[in-house]
Amino acid sequence: MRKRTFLAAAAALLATAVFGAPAALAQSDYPDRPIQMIVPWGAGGGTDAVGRIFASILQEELGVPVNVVNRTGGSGVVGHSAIATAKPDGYTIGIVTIEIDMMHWQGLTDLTYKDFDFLAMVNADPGGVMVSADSDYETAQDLLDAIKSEPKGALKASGTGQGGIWHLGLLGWLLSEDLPPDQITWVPSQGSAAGITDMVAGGVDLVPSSLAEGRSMIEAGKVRPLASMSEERQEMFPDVPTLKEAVGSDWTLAVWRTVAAPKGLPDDVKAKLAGAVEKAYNSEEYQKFMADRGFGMRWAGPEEATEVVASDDESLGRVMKEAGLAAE
Amino acid sequence: MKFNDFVLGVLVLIGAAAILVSARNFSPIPGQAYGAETMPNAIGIVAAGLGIFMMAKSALMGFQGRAVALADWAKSPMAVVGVAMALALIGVYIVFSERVGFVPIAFLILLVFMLTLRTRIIVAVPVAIFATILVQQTFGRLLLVPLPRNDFLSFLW
Amino acid sequence: MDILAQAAGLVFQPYVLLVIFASACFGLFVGAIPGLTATMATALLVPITFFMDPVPAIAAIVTATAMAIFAGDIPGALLRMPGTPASAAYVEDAYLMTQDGRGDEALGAVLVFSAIGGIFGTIVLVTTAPALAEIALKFSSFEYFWLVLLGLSCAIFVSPSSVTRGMIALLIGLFAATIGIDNPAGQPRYTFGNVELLAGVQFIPAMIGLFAVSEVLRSIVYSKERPKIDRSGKHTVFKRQWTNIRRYPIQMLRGSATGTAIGALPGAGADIAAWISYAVSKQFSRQKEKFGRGHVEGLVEAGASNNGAVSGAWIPALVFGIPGDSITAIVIGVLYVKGMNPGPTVFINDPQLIYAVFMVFFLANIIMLPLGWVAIKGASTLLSIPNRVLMPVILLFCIVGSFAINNSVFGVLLMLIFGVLGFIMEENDIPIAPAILGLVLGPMLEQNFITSMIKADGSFLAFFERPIAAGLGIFTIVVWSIPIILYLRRRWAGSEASPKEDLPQG
Repeated sequence: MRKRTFLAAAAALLATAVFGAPAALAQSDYPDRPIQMIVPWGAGGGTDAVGRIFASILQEELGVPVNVVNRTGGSGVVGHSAIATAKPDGYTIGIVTIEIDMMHWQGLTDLTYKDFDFLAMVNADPGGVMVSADSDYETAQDLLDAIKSEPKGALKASGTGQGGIWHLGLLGWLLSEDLPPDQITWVPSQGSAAGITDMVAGGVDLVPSSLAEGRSMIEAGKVRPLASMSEERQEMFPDVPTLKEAVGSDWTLAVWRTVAAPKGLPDDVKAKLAGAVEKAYNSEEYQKFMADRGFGMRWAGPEEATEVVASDDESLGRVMKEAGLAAE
Repeated sequence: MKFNDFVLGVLVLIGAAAILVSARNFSPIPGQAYGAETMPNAIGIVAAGLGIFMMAKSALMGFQGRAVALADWAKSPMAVVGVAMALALIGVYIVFSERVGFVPIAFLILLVFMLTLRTRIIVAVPVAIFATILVQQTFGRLLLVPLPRNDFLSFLW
Repeated sequence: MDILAQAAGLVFQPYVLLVIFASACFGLFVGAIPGLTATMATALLVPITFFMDPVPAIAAIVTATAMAIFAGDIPGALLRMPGTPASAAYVEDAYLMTQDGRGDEALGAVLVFSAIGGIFGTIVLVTTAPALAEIALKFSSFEYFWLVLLGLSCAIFVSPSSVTRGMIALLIGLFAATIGIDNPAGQPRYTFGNVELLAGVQFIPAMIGLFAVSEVLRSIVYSKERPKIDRSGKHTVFKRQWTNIRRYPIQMLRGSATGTAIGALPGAGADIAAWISYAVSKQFSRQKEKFGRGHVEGLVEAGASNNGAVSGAWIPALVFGIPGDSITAIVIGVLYVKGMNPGPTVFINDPQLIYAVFMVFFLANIIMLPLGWVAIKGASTLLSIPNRVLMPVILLFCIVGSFAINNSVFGVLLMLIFGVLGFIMEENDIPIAPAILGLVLGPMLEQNFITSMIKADGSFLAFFERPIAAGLGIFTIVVWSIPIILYLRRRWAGSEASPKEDLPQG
């Protein structure tokens, strides 16, 4: 495999040496050179995995290399800015995640979802409620009773950084139960894997991240899933009730991933890209990959995706303001 | 530039003060006693202690060494020009690489730096060409690093 | 036995062996270039592994990462430009050995003991993975806080020049680590409204700047000739290693065991392991004074330790699907895609696959020996290129490596700033390595301290309430008090004794 790329590189080098510039100067329709796909999160994470599988399928659809470029750090601001400020020529696209609906409320950037042309929403994972298998809480109702009866701040939760998406998920649930936002103390962590590990080690009481992220620990019998923050039960966890079923709360939250481009894409390029993205989404390869990884499928075309992003922007903004996490 | 222990201690103390002052802009996590200011404060306090310790120790030992001494190499024009050139060339890359593209700028950096270090031009030119192509091909093609591109010489891409 | 035979059948096929060989070469190449990381090698391999069966897919990643971690030592020993923070712990010794004309021996030691550490870690993985993973799961932020503090302390104690100067370097690193928004409070610090600064100081560009760029500058101003490689003996890479194994058996085992144990913790990796092992080696050595002056003993222990940690990281990954580092995080994803869902069940459902993976581990560490030898021999020819040609090319590699880590010229700017800083530090006899450690461990120290205090509702006693935390805490305090007590006793014993400890040396 390395050999193949190496041979390809050598062949390409030879070809350019022999035929020189003319081959490349001949103009053809979009796309005629490699496309960059910017992933605002690090290699190894879920967003990176989705970006890489998409890139490899799009590459076949479009007939040019699609290279994944990780631009990480700054709670996603760096990467999202890189996508938004790139030339809207179709040669830079990226994976835009739900954090785009949070960072401007926090006052970290002026960037909002309005700076992007959304091509599609390709995945969504509902939040969940998980506790350690050694804990006394057998159901979400047990947990809610404890949250209400224990003194303020006695229970601890973790799963993202301060003001991160799962922190908001928990706050949204608390607010929907008319509980104050500081009823549970948030312990910041570097992502949900770290939060779940800490919960199993006895450091915190619950983790409200997506059940998919706790899958291996659930299967290992170390973590007990209590509820899913979705309207319907999740296919992979049919025994886990929705929050509505378990405690009657209307709160739902799903983290999604979209394929997007900088605002102002030419119409023909946008149509071509959106078509390729839809084909890639429906490919057997993508469907199988997502099922194997345990990621939730969610399709929304350009218009619907923009609507979902806009409505989440509003609801997350509301929660952040109520919880005092939004910048003045 | 070489500093003696006393001056180094003063510098550490100044740094500590700057950190401690700036940490006042940071606030604890809501509802908690600790937060963004904790770590800068801790670093500042340890640094302040260290700075005072170094100053005191140096004073007790009679301020050994010149306060600020210029290293020997600073007397050699060739060395100074070489260092300045290396730093300037990195600066040139930062400012111009996006506009000019990787290939011309890499070639320029290699050639100018080699000539500054008195490599013969008959060696410098082929090495610069070869190394540019090598880096461009391995990083750009094999490792998929998105090196800055430009239409000029972009057939190498 | 039947399962073993099946597993062997899966591994010993021409295709799988070819994949192992090709990924080994790839890993060597990526690891040997400062700025390209083992994580990057793994991420690049993932799309290719989509089209492979489970065993070759895992084999490609395991082999490439093991090779990349070893290969990071090559530029460290030859040019004083370590490829990974883990190799930074012993770069001084390795480089001084090269200057002494013993470069082959230094690299041979790192190679052989890397392989030994890796194999030791694999044996532990095969035999006691489930039990060790259970213990590793008991570590929460309290335990990690002490472990990180212990790691940072080592940087100061192993510092070859004075303790105060080691402290300055450490504080520089810790301060640089506070920049950005990725702190527990989620507040931007020292970013001045700049988007790139929100991401903070990434340690790869900083490391390239501190070590490689400052070394390029030094080579200009001191225009010293680099040592010639001894080409008289043909087998110098391996020749001395038998002696080293016989002379330092305890160091070898202690390094492998420490590395594996630390690697098995999901929140700690090869960098802390290498530093702690190097410090332990120095503490218990009969030739303490030789450390940091071109002595092989530290290479033996720390070299074994960091590769042991790489194997150890697989323990929680395979048993519970918990990533020990960014590499295993990627691998867990690949495992899911290949239907080998990590967790206790993988040992029951697909034992032949797991045993095949174990065999790949052994193969990867064994193939490291011949390929590493070729790489060392090849890389050594670098030393025969004159500085005036080599340094400009290295500078270009530095620029591209700093750029590649986040695909942004901001990385190059960071490299430039830290290059100047590193040069000034070296001029003033301030060691560089502790700054790197501070930069790597600073965020972990802060994260674990703040979260511990939140969990404990502000009580410091909580750092001693859990048994493992208490043990580590007391150990850390003892490590800190011994030198102070010794110092005070020395003072009392003879107040005339010259306090030359603080004079810069070397």
